Amino acid sequence: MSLIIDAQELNEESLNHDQLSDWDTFKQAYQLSQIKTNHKNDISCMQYLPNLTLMPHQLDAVKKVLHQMHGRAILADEVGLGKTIEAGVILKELMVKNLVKKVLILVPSSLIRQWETELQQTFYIPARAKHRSYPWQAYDIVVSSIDLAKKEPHSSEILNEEYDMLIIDEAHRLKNPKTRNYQFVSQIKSTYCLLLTATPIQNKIDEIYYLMSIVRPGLLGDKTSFKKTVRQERQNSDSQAIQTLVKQSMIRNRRSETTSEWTGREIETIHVDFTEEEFEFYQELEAINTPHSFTTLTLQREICSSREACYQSIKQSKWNDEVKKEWMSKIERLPHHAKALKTVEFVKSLNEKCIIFTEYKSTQIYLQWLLHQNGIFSVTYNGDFRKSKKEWMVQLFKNKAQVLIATDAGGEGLNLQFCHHMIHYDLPWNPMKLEQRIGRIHRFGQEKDVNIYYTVLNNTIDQRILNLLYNKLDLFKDVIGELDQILSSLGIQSLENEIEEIMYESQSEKEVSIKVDHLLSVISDSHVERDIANESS
Amino acid sequence: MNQAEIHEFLIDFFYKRKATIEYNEQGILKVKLTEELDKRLMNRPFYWQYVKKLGYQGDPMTVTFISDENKKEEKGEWIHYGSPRLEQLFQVIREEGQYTELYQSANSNKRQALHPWLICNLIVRYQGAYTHEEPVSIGVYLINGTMRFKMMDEIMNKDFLTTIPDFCYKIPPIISKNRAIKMINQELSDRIKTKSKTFEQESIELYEKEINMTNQLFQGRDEEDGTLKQNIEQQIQDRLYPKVHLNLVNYGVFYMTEQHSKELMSIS
Repeated sequence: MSLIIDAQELNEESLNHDQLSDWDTFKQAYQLSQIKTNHKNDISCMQYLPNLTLMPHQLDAVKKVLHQMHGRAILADEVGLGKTIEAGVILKELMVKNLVKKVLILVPSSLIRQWETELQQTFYIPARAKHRSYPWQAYDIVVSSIDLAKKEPHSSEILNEEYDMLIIDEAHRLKNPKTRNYQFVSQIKSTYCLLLTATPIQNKIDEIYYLMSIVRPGLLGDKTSFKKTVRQERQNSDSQAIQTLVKQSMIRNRRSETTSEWTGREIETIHVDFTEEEFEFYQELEAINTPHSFTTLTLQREICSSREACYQSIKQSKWNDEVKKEWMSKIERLPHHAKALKTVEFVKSLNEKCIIFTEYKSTQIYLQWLLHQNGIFSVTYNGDFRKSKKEWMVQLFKNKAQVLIATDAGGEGLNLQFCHHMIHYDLPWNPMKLEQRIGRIHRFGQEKDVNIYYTVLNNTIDQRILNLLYNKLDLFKDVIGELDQILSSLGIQSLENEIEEIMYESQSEKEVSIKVDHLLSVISDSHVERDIANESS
Repeated sequence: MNQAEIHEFLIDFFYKRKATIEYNEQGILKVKLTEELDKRLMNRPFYWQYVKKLGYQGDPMTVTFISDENKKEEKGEWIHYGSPRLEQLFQVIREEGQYTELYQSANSNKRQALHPWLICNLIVRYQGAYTHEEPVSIGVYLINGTMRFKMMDEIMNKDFLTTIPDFCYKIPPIISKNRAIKMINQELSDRIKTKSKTFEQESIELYEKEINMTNQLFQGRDEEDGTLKQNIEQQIQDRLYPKVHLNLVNYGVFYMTEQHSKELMSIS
């Protein structure tokens, strides 16, 4: 084995030039080639990106991926630390170095446009979204979604191509090797490869194995030996075999560890009282005896959000028609929702752009209507919207509307750092959801302190959750990014259900409180799996 | 080139290519392009196709380039280092400056001979464990094959003309251009091979480590995983196997005075 020297450009055939240059142009062409020269261990593309300043952890990540991982890696920074920027710089650098020409970028369909514009405007990379009229091979740098790409005839076209680089955003969608997504991606031919995900491990440690098999097959050995190592690791917490290996091809920066200064986070709780009628109705709900155990809690949570949310869910329930009618007419008699009124009043006094998050679509529509009645222009945003509508809504919010009312679905990758107020109209029972919401505005590029508001109805389930969970968030703020994975290692499907169950089964408020406390302390102590995922440096 | 130098660069560029400069203040330059520049830069082939079909002259565009950060708000195209537009202009220069035949200007009334040299500028690109680029400028004396490096540095400050100066005549080359380029290729390859042992070793170690990892992974697996394994091996080969590319920047035949030729040969 030895060095390959490629001197094709010095062949007679390629040396035909009829146009003669003058001395000045000849010199200039020579000088241009001198500026472009790259040196070992340099990031030379930065000179072409004068408007971009990388944060230290980003520069570090770029250098590591290029120089130590040789261009194949998992970028697993926490939400809002700028994974896309890192990927963009890595791509740019490989292009400047002439190593990469043909690029395939697969992202969730809601993010296609965003990737396209970001690559073009920030990095001057001529990326194009895939258009149905052109074949895949017509593109040098193409952005599309896995969902489209994996279908025929696209998939065979793509698998016939030889890409220089493959980038996959939200790569945690590839954690299951049995899915078509995974099988398709693992067949794509590409020299360099970046997988982006904020949650490299969501449920099981195996997931990192499969992600790594795309990036660096064999690094973690075969499946059996990997499982064996995991088992050994569980018994012996000093052993860090897997962590050390994973570190070789994964970058994970955590918000708490990044050296740069983050803008502050102010949290404020806005307390609201139900009107008497509403509270009466709330208590009636508490007293219902239904065969299904959690309905009461669900309905209570809904009525704490809006009459509409509760109405919808009763309408769709399996109760018999008479009972349904009775409850529905009760709801119809209720006045405007106290929390909604308070929120509108607050938004008015704020007089700045803000985002309202709710769990229910009915509430979303109700709030928009109520804001409109009060002369406040708002737009909605949810997972059902088509790509173009989502973009339009964000544009409207940026330029015209004061308020964006969003549900949790469809919020992935949404960048709203031009706004620094966020109201959690309903409190999610999973703190990770909360973190993801806040990450929409408290991210790279936010210049102001971020204000977070919880609206809470006194003496209701809202307040209970606030006391049970929110006031203890500090306890496990370090593990919030990996909450899901910790939970599943404890055999808990979802924190939400777990808490509901605790509330349902407990005899007294005291008991609920103790049980939740125990749960939280188990979570914050759990560390084995967490450490493996927490590579960073 | 920094942002402040772009303005001067643009003036030079367009002046030289016969565009009309309509307005010029520091950081703002308004130019009326020539037909050739318009075709080259403005990306509107259909316009030119129709215009020609209809037998019209065609009207090249006027463009305003803004290179001063403080004047970004003015109407025009913001141009900066790294912008596609500037890259496009660089590309024009690179293409135009690819090949030449030039004569050293000699201001004397004596009859004198000009001696032929081939000058070849290259970028040697190492790719493997790391990527590294090295500019090389080589001259070959086309009479006896003497070769010397760092050639551009030697002639950077001399004057060269596109036509042969008065009272001068050229000595015809004995070694052909192609032959000289082969010599360069040979010499460079030899030097690279001896010089880059560590790079080669480092890369091959890395390459073998990854290949072994793959082999282990596929040990005892069925044939059907064959293509997957091939893809992986290809990817590792492309990324890590040590390769050196010789990329040509530009080259040309330079006729130089006898004295200068002698100087160049003595310090090889």
